[in-house]
Amino acid sequence: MKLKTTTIIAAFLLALTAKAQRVTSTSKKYIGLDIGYRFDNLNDQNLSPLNQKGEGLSYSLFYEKRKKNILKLNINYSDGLLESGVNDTFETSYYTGSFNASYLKSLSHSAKTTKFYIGLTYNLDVYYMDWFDQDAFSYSTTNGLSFTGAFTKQLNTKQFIEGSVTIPFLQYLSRPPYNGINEFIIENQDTPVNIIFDGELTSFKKYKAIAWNINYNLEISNHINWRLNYTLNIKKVIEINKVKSVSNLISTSISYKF
Amino acid sequence: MFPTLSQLVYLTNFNMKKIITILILVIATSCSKVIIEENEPNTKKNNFEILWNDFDQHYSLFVIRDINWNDLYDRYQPQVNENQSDDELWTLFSNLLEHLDDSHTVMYDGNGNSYRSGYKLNKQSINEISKTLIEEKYIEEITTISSEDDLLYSKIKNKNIGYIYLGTMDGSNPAVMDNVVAKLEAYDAIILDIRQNTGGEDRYSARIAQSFSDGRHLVYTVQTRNGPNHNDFDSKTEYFTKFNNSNTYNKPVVVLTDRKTISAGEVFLLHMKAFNNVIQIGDTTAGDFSTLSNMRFLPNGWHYQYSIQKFLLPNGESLDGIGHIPDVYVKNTEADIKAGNDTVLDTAIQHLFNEFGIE
Repeated sequence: MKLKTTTIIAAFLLALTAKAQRVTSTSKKYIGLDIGYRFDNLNDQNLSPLNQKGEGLSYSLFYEKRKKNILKLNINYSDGLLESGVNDTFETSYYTGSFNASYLKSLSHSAKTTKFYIGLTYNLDVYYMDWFDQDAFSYSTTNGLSFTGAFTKQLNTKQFIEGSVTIPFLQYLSRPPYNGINEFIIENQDTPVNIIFDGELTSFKKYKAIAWNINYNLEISNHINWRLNYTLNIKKVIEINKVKSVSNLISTSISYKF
Repeated sequence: MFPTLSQLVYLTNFNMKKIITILILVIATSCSKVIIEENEPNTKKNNFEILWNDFDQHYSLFVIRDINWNDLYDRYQPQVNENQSDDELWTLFSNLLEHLDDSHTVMYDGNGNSYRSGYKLNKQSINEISKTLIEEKYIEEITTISSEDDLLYSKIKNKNIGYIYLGTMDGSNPAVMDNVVAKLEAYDAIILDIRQNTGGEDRYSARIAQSFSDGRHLVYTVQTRNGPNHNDFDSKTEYFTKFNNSNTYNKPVVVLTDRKTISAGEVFLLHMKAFNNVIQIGDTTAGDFSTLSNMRFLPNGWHYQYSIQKFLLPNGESLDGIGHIPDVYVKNTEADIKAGNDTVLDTAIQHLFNEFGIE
């Protein structure tokens, strides 16, 4: 099953590359940097029975190619501090990293100002929490494919609004074992990649997530584009140690158009 | 009367922006409350329930230590009430956890105070050894290994015996023990003192033991609790002594232990006692082998850890709650130390003379 999923992911990425190569030179390409602030509320029963709330900075590098269809690549890193307990005495550091590659196919006529898209996203999301030099830690890694639906609304020649919804459907999920630690984790503590990717194909019943993004884009000049982003991420892991997470991210980006 | 096209576009954009802004605000504030449930209430009873249930679901040694956790709930839960002080609740929790007699069960109040289960004898042993006395009376030519925590080697004064003190298994380069053993190779025996060894990493222990290894032996298995029943454990992971043919030590080794030789210090002994040339002299060790859980948290700010594994000897027996019983039992008293005598070290030196004629 693992091989089958890897093959599907590889085929999807190959298709992205092939499609990207077929796009003509009239397409708009953007490369940019996004900086934002995120607000997190979560409960990870592996880390603690207590709710955690916190905030932190978020940084993304992205590349987009837009013509009729849209190709998006995004690498994100963020970190911050979560607080819990009486008077918020427990402070837990958290670190997240993600890579997303989306291909969105247009469903609308190119002359219309409002266009709708549907497509696939490959995602790799890592969420790691560390309390006081690993005296307590937890993590949640997902890796797989999601459905994405999107729209763009051209306000005028220089402004447009874009919205998207992403729902994962084929994901490998890696979570700590029942007791948080086991011999596998102890043996692999020097190579955390082995732990993070020791996942299993999960069902929609066990893992539910939705990411909703809306952004406003303004073309400042022929080559510079400014964007204001809002992203809402909701995740729910129904396993032995449940996770519920809501994250709000407000960010802004500058990109170079070529 | 009718707005122009550009006015319409403006109005549409304005309304859309307004709608989106309102939508974002509504979603951002309401989603968290809907998805994340109410936080655990910080009441005395709820703190007790979380603690008791967490142990019930995750602690690994109820069966091995013959603890009836349900009986303890019936005994202690009725004593919890919302009018008692934090100090009274702390005492009640401590009394409950004392039944485990497991010094890997530790509770912190977040204000610098802590409680450790079954720690009375361990604590007492702190005053039953004096490093100053050892260094002044018993050893010479002392070399401290700066790369490691609490590791030194030397020789016993006026004897052809090497001496190593290792106070923790938390260092960064256990292979340095190969060099230490090489330095002491000319002596007829080594006394390896791991009294007050506070433990650390089992892998570190295994690598240190390799410097004295005479072969590859199955020494223990580890299982981690993986389910809600007290007997739910994952499959056994087997651990063997490490062996390097080009680097062995075959002369007598005396390992000194006390009640505070604990955890990875005891795992080290599991390795060492598999070798033919090793004997243990001193007091019985703590009897706490398991890896500690992640820190666990209570709504009132207290936090705690406990054992999550069981270690078994190849014959299926457990030393948890028992410890390593020495081949030659001897322990210091505070009076011995005050009188300038380390009876344990004296016994080891005498044993090497009696058994091997080493002096």
